[in-house]
Amino acid sequence: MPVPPGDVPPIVQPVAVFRAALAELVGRERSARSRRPERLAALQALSDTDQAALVERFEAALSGPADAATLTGQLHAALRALCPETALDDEEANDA
Amino acid sequence: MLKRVVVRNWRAFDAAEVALRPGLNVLLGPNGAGKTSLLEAVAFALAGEPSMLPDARLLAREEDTAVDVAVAFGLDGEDWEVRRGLSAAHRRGGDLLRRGGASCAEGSAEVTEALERLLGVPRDLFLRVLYMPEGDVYRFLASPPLAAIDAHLRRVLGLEQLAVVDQAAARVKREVGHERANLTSLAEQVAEREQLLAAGRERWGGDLAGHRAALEAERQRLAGERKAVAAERQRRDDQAHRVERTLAELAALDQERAALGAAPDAADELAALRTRCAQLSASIRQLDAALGQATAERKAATEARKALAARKPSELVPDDRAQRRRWAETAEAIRQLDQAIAEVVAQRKAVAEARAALAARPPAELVADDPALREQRAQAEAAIRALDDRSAAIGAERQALAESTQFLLAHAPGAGAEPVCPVCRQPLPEDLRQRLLAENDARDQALAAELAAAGERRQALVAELAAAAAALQARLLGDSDARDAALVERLARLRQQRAGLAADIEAEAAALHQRLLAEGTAREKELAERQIALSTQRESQVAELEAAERREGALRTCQQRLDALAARRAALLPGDTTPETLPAELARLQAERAAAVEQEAALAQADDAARADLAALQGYQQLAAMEGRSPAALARARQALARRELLAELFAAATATTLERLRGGALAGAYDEVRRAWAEFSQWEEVRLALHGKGQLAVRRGARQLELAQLSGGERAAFLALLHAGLGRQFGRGELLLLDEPLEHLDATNGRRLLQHLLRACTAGALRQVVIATVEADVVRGALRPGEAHVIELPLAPLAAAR
Repeated sequence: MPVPPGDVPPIVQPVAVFRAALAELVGRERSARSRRPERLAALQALSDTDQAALVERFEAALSGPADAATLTGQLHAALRALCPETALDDEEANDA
Repeated sequence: MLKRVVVRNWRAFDAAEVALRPGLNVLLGPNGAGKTSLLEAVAFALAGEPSMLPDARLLAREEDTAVDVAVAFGLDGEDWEVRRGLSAAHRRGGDLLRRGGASCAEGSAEVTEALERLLGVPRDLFLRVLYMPEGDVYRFLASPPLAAIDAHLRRVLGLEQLAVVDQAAARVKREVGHERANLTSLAEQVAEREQLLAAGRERWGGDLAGHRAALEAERQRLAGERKAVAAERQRRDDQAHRVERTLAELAALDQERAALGAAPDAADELAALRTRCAQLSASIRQLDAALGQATAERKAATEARKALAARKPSELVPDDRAQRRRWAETAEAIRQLDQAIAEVVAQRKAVAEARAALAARPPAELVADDPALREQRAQAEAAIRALDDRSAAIGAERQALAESTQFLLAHAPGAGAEPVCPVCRQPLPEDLRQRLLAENDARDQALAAELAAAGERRQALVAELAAAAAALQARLLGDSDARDAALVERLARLRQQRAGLAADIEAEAAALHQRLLAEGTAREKELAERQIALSTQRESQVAELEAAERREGALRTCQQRLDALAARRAALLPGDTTPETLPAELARLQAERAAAVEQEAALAQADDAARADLAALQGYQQLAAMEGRSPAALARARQALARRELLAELFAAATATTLERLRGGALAGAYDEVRRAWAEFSQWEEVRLALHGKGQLAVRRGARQLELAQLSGGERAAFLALLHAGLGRQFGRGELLLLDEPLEHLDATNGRRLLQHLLRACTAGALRQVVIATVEADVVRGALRPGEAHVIELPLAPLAAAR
């Protein structure tokens, strides 16, 4: 017998507030016109998985270290993991 | 809503079961009775952990025995039960959530998560807001109040960590932006890299690490040298500042000494002041003595006047001899009149007694006292006796006549007996017998008439005697009344005469009393004026004495200050130092400082050059590292960085928005709830909670703003309980509030008010169920009428505790 759906008020759920704010920001960003092609490509490539990963990262940060410098390093690492640079293919290596 | 708590081997209990009800529940009992154990059992069941004792070994009453806690509650018309357990080895196990008897979640984390969804309260929020553990009041009062309330709220909302996350996210965003700028710069440099690489190779050759180490060593050396020069500059700076301060202080000392030295000769003035002080002291002592005497006299006069006022005027004795003699004569006359009045009163009493005796006597007895009536009665009695004799004779005669008639009738012809004469017994002719019968009858009638007449006569005589006696009694009573009336009249005259004399005397006595009182009052007034005059004179002299003493003190202080200034001046100028040598010393130090500054600048310049070289070397190294990288790869790197930048921006912006919304939404809502609760509790006319800075709290009462620190300890303790109540409404929707010892630090009045506030909140539906633990039995009984709250007295009865 499952527990009925929860009714935790979002006002006390930072993660829920973050999730909603993130969705709003993405919508706003997509509706705006970006002149930079890299930015435009990054925005087009932004997926629900990416947003979920950001929410997950935010939740982890809430229970993470209270030291801003350490947390900054962790966030950097998380973002690098989300956005890896692809290795050079042969053609590119030849071009170089 | 909690319905029942059942524990086994839990803290204070081997086993216990407690039923709870909607509204206010009070766990009441002495220390160690198990109040906190029950509250923590609820916290353990609903949040998965008790807040006070994180070490599971401390939760079991007996070691090596399993712990079991079960809490039954109702929600939306359904019955729920949550069960938490610890094994004998203190490991979590047996956690279970049931709805209507059917299991719907198992395992510690699953049960906790299900309860969070079910109750609508995150676990940590439950432990921080809906449950105020024992000792929170102490911690709250021990912290600076503003910081405490602010930290409390931010801790409740998780804002502190959120702010750290916000800071980190902003930093990441900035740094990624810098990376992009660098990458863009690098991309522009790619076109020139061959040229740059060639120049680099020419400059540094192949030994990049050696060059870099040399540059870094040079920078380190320069840094050490700069540090030494900076220390030397600072030292010169400090010395120069010290000299400047010494010069400034010397100037101030000289100025003050000049001002103090401008005063008149202090020694003469001091001697004159001491003499004047002695004179004034002696004079004040005399005035004190005179004032004491005047005060005593005034007090005596006041007491005499009060005694006189308390006396009756008639008790006074006039000081005038003639008046005194007249008063004595009048008093004697009054005494005689009183005596006469007493005599008359006695006479009246005797008359009244005689009259009463007279009225009580039968009138017939009074006849003996009156000669005429006595003669009249003797005559009447003789006549009555004659009448009685005659009546007896008539009776005898009538008896004889009756016998004769009887005989004649018995000797009638044909009656059997021979008719004979009743007297001579001779034959009696019939006609004679008839005649004799007629005569007998006539005679009997005549005798009957005579007897009746004698009876009437007798009655008339008796009535006449009684009337005469009654008339005599009436006459005697009338005489007595007339005598009494005469006595009354005389008594009235005597009393009137006495009243006249007494009124004269009383009027004179009253006039004498008034005169004496007026004299007393005048005496008092005179003494009071004298007192005032003496006091005024004394105050004036005391003021003069104080002024003289102040002046004397000032002169002494001035002298001491001059001595101190001299000592300080000597301390400022040690050895051969003089005020004249100090400016030269200062100039030297300033010159040395300027030289150090120049040297520091030169070193900084050298360091800048070394840093530039190092940066160039690093740039060359970076370019060298990118050597062989194609423009397409660079484009990919830029693409990845753009994506990272986008994610970093989104993350930072969403974090900032979250922080802002929580501050503006939840925090403002929480403050509003607390404000309402505090306004109702404090009954202040206007209450506002002002936010400033990062959500710090101040209380406004009308136009006056009070920091929390300005509230008393008890008010702050009540504020904390109300804070939990308000936040409980905000975050827990008022379903449940657990307060452990909320009455700590409250006096009985505020304790009762807090309980009544919680009760009202329950009654009004703002809070559905509140469970508090307290030792304050008197406060609870004073605040709550029977039946208003569910009071559970601890320790529990053996049966309940053993179940």
